[in-house]
Amino acid sequence: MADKRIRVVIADDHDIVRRSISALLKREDDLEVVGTAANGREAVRLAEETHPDVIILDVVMPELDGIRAAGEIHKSNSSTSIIILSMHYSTALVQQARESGASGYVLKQEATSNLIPAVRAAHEGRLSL
Amino acid sequence: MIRVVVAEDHHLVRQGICALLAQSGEVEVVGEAATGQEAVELAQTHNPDVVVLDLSMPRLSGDQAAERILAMNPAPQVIILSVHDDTTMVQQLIRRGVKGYLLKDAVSEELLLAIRAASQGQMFLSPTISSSVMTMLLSPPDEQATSAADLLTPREREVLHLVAEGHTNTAIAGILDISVKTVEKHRANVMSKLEVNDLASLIQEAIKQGLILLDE
Repeated sequence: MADKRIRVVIADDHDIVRRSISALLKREDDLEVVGTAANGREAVRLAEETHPDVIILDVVMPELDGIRAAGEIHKSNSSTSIIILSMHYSTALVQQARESGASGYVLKQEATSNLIPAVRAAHEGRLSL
Repeated sequence: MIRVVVAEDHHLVRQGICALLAQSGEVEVVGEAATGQEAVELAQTHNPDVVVLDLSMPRLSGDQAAERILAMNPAPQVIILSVHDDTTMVQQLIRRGVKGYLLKDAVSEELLLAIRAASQGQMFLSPTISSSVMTMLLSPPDEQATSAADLLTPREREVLHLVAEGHTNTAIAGILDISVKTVEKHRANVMSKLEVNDLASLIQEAIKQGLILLDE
């Protein structure tokens, strides 16, 4: 049986951050970046088009924020695992993330060490919030 | 190779910038900083050609770090990165000798262009900002308003920045290595120059006059 890579979509409003996360993920053999989005609307659309295994959503995005995008994606793509990326930790935000269907919550400042394990955990159906 | 110091407190952004520059084959990142203070120190110790400074950083903001770096002899060129397209700030920075101003959401394409330009002493501004700067340059000097930043001394601006970050007078004294009494004096001067009586009004007025910027 051929090994399938985990297909990931990245959504963040800063190009430089999208590139940075892409570079991070591309270093891993089992992960594949299948698309990037610059706002929540694009993220929802991309999720519907590409059906990724995991989608990483920045909380702060124009058009539609990460939490609401998560809600929409979770409703229409239940097989896509969602990771919320944020600059701040707040129990309220984590709660909202969980309620919107996210299985992971990662702080941007800790992304280099925590994002990849979170992506893998989410894909395996494990929670990391 | 153009030798660059990158100062940016958001880890992912800094990493992205360094990766982008490393890939170019023209730029060598000789130092990375996460605060304005570190940026100034790295500029002094490593003598880079260009320093890329995020405008909003903890401890010492990008514009204050820029001022110190540009006062060095010899001085590296400075490029500012920001999420804000605050034209007053841009104008002030350019008057002080900053060679580039880039908005963070478009930084990838423009960064290399800006660094190349700066290393040759030329300016590069994000297109969105260019037009407002042109207007400034075209208006006669006495029509240009005295900038709010010229009101405060560099030390007063430092204190204001730290007050806005929420530090106590004692903490500020420690950070700046001055006495608490001196901090109180600077604080009082800032408040009287901005014509405010309380902290909330101070912050509000400072933001209005472009002296401090809200981080994203």
